[in-house]
Amino acid sequence: MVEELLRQHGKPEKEVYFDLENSGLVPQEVVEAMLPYFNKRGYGHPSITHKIGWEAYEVVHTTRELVASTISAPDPENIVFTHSGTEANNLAILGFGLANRNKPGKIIVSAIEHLSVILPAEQLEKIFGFKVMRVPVTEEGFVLPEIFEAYMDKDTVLVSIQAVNHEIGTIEPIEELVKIAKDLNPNVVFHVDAADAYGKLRIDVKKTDIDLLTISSHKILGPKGVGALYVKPGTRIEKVIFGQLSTQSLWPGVENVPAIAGFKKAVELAFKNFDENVAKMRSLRDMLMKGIVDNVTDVLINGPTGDKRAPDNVNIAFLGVEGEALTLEFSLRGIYVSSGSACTSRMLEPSHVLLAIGRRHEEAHGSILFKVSRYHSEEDINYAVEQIPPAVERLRKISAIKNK
Amino acid sequence: MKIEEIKVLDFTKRGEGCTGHPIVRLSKAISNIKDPQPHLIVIMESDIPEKALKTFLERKGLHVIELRNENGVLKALVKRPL
Amino acid sequence: MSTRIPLPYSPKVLELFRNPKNAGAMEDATVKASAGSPACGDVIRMYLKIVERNGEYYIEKASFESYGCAANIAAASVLTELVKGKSLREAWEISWRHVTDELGGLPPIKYHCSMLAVGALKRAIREFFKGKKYPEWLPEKPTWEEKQVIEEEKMIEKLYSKYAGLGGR
Repeated sequence: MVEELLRQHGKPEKEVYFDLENSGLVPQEVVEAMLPYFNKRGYGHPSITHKIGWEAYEVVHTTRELVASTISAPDPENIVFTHSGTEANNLAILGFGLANRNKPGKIIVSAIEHLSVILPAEQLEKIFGFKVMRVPVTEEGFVLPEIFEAYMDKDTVLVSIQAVNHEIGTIEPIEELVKIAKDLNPNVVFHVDAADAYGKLRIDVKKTDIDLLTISSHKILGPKGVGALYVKPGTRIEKVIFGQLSTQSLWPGVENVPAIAGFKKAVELAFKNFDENVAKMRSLRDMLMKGIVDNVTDVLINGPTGDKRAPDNVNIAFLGVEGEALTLEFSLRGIYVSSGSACTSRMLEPSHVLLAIGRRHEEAHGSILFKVSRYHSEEDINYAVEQIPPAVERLRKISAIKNK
Repeated sequence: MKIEEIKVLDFTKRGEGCTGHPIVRLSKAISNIKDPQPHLIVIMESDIPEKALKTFLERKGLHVIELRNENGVLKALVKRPL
Repeated sequence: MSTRIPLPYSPKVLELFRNPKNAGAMEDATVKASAGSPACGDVIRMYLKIVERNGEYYIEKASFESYGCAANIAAASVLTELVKGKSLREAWEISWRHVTDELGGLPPIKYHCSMLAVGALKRAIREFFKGKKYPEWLPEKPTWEEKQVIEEEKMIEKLYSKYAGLGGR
């Protein structure tokens, strides 16, 4: 039936993909970098002693070296590969919890962390008796140092705060927060989910003294199937899944070698012209944001604007219409996005991030997330700006609630 | 002020799911206080330390008239200045 | 962005989403009624034009307004088509399963959209008979669909009163 559904949907005359939050197009160069590792070279297991194994090992190892260099990590062996940012976050949080289960202290997370941080932290609470506290954020999503300081104390064993919020693009003051944390407890482990920051902000784990850092391949236009966790030497975490170890002690199982090859290429591309890439994203972001705000009434920007916002993130609440309907309406016009509303049980539970910044349910339900990349063009943005107002209008005309 | 005029916002009970967390609900509720009526915010210290609550409320533009800690239950009487 | 569930809709739902029948408020409606709440992300308002013929009441035309997902819009639309020309008694008999079937099926998580549409219709019919003598086919007590809708609306209210008194503003 999905076939029939897709036929019904048809292929719009123009397609612009903005749903990079949830993975998207991988540049052709990245695909080319992956292909040999399926059946031409290094198609074996990176920890077996033969030529094909060594070829696989080579790409895994050189990718570690590359990633380590991009974050100023002292040793490539500090980089652990998982299969997603979610797994890397789970390794960080659960891995810490397992290693410290005999002293279940306090864990601090921000109220707007990704669920792959919040949920494992809550599991630690349930299973081992850690105490998880969520720091509230401002209306733009900032963790204020003075509020964080009031939560932080010598009983805090783990802190997890993202460098950039995945939904609303808020850039958190990580350097300052780490300083505050380590002043109050030099032994605290500070984890930073950098999935949305990597490739968009410069990260230096040595300078900032971060203990654990999460990276996600698809967030920098690499393939799905690869995540990475930087583990500062001396950080006590244990593995959370068990099995045959390959090239790393913290996560067993065969590494996704072709995807790692692709991820390596994606990293090279992202860091080659870092500042230009960021400048381009920012300019496209601002063009899209302005285009929407100027041409659609009754909208709200979720998150900050300008320099304190991730260069690729646009998140707008369209009042009076519901997110899933809007997502589908946009899709029919070739614009692919995701929304702040979601379907769980009988009730639509909107994004906890949007509620935590003070949005009402209806505002959260009508929120749409767009992410731009260096591969988008001004033409793409113009097309979107042209299509969005009539799309919103069509749904507003039949809406059962009138905009505020 | 008369007792009946104070709106009580109680966050001590746990809600369901991720949007039910007291801190999420607190943030949402505070952002939606628009009237100048006094509000009494009741929340567990185990969810937000006393100093953090005071700073958070002030940063959100509320005047904290009184803040009490009754055995781990924080009660903050606040008002949005006109 | 929060929890996600894949929703491969039936082509009929997509078709109705694209070209909803009877969408929009009705100027000369006899009755109208809403079900659901904006906080839920789900509201359906039904408009009915009711005429009397030979002692029976008939729905001459029906329209809807919707705040909700594609299933919500499609369910409301298909229901307005189903009730057109029917007597109130016949319209009352339409169940949420009937609506779901007309849509070519729905993912179970979206069943509540059909229930909401039927709930809104039933509310509108009750509204019509307010102050009049209830016909024998119209139960005094709320039916199962109506109870579902009320429960959903109350759930939001309860959540909000836990959030203490700020309502669904």
